[in-house]
Amino acid sequence: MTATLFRVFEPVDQSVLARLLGETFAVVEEAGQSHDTTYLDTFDWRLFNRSSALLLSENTLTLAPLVGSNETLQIDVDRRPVFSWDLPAGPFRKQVEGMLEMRALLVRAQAKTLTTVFRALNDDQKTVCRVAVDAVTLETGSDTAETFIRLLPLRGYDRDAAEIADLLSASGAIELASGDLYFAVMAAAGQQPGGYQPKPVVPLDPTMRADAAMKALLRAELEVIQINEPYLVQDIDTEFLHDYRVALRRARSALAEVKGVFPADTTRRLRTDLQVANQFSNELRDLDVYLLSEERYRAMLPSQLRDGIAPLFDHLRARRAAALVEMVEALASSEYRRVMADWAAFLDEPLPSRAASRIGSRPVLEVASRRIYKQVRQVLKDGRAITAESPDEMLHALRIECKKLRYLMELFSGLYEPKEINGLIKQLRTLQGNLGDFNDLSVQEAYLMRTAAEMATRRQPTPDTLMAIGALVAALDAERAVVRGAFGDTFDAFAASENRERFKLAFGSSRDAF
Amino acid sequence: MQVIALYSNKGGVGKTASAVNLAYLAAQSGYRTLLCDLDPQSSATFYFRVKPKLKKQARGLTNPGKAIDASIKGTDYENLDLLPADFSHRNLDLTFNDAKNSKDRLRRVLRPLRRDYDLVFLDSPPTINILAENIFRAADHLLVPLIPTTLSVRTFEQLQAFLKENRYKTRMLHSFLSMVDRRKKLQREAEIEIRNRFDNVLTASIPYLSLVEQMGIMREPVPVYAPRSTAARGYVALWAEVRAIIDGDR
Ligand SMILES: Nc1ncnc2c1ncn2[C@@H]1O[C@H](COP(=O)(O)OP(=O)(O)OP(=O)(O)O)[C@@H](O)[C@H]1O
Ligand SMILES: [Mg+2]
Repeated sequence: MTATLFRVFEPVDQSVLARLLGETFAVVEEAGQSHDTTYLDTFDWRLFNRSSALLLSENTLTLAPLVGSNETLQIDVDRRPVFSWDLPAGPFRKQVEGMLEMRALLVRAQAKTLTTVFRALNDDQKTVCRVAVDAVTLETGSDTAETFIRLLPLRGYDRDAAEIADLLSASGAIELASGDLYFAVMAAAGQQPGGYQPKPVVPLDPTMRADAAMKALLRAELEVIQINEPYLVQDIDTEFLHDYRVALRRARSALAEVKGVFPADTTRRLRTDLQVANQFSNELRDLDVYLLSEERYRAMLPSQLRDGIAPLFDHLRARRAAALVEMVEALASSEYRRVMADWAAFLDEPLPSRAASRIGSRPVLEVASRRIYKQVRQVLKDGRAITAESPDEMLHALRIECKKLRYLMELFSGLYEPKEINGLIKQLRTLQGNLGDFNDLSVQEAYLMRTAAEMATRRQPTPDTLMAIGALVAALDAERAVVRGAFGDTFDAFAASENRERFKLAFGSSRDAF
Repeated sequence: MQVIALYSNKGGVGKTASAVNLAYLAAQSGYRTLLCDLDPQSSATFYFRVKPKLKKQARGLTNPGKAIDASIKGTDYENLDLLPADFSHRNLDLTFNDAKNSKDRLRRVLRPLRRDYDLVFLDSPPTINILAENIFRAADHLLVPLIPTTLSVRTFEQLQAFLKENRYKTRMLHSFLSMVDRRKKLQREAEIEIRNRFDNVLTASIPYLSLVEQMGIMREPVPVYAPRSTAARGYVALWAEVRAIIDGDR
């Protein structure tokens, strides 16, 4: 295929373009137009990570592939969309929805473009190609523009477009890949596409002292917390809080699960502190989860009861507003400030020349593998004990053990071969999915019953609302039975001998070193 | 995708002139438009400055979808493409009644384009042979230019009879007055007769004007080189009526 995007290093008007084309084609100006382009993506670059760019120019929203040959999609909108549900229903929204999920679109960069379209004519004065010259001002306030040339070939005149591309190259224009303009704009805006990692993989030297490695891991989690923290108050979407909390829990779990690396009292103090920090947002996160499920809940209800459920969600929204205020206040509290400052100070302290404990002085690979493999065996043991008749508590307990294993594997994933560790994490994720669904459904049922009682004491819920909540509980319970029924097979797949072998191979061998 | 054929079994009545101008105006209105030049004389192709290809014979209709895709040319105007005359000449070869389904050939050839275009205009040569039937089957609407003469009345009646006999929907048939010279008494009388006798004559008519003839020199649609002229206004009015017909269809 012919290149269609070029960069040139001088302003281009009609005569310059004619010169660049070596006077082979006549050039006439067709139209000129100036417009602002806003580049949108989520905080965690969900579009970029799927090689897509979303641009808003005037009223037109364009979803363009950064690489590859996927189709470019366009629609007209009345205002800048924030969530995928702000878009009109249709194929465009479907495409975007799958990538964004619940995340909000942020303005990642802006560019002002002055576009002039020229037509290149052959000897018959027939237009054989349109040539768009874009003078793009990348930085706000700067008056220097970069010049780009786009070829807009005409159907049936590919050969002429190819010739024009050759002529441009011969006159010193630089061929660009379609995504290059995107990267130029992002660089000028000081953005680093894909630069945010909610679950950072810290590269570790396997022979590094375990206490040093743990500090590096904890520091990475603290960074995620600090990155997300300022956005919590702004309440842009639910995932800032989600990522923030996951990082807090990962840090706490690292301290709890890899015991004996730091002095015991330090570990204990930090764990309690992180627990406290996490509690500040428990309620808000719970409510976020319910509200995100609103559509799913509605769909579970028979149509006569769908409107009846609205007061429940109004109630939850009101509670969420209050919970947000509480969290914001808690984050501003001196206690929270102290917790975070304490933690940062601990991480900044220089390492003692000799580790505080025997484990702290061992190479991190040994410590990690040993701990992970022990946890694998714990999960296998607890899982095997579960039968179809086992009480719910056993599944909940297994879920916790799986979660610990997951945190450990992710935390130390930088030590292992990425393909191998990711494959194993994926196996675990399937099992966790089943256990997580089971737990969520149990918790949701209980929560709905409690909320119904709470609504009944405060105001008069209509019979419709109570019936709708009842129907919802019944629907959730039916789903819970299905999930429970699927546990056996899910666990057996996880505990299959070839899987056990893989875990053993990845984590088991270094036990000999102890 | 809707297909509109400019059709008449008489020559020189303004089929090509109206096909070119209507296709241009449709494209300007935002319809993704294809003009198919089915006439070996290739006047429409000439008007859009597309060089007729004199190259080796294409392989015929073994893969009509691919052949047509490779033959379409962009015009100088946004939303408007052209299928040059040499394509139909080479690939439709409709003068011989050879294959059994030959009446459906054109329809089948156009089918792969249905996602690419909203509107297809067919500019046909004056014909009553198998090509005519191909056009009738491919088109959603027939648009017949009538020069106001008594002869036109006769031939239009024949066409109506033919369509009825062969079970085409009579709803698809429309006509409009073309190359109208109201200075001529005979034409004025003929116009009245036509409008009284047929109920499918559009209100807009195209006057006889030398500005239209200049298309051959300008090689551009009339609204491009004479946007405010009476001739351009005539085509704009005609397009407005045609547009109402196709929009009503959807
Ligand atoms: N409204 C008009 N006023 C004056 N001249 C016209 C008008 N419409 C068409 N002509 C001229 O009349 C001639 C025939 O017109 P046109 O080619 O459109 O008719 P046609 O029906 O397509 O002819 P053919 O049957 O040969 O394909 C052309 O020279 C054209 O420029
Ligand atoms: Mg003609």
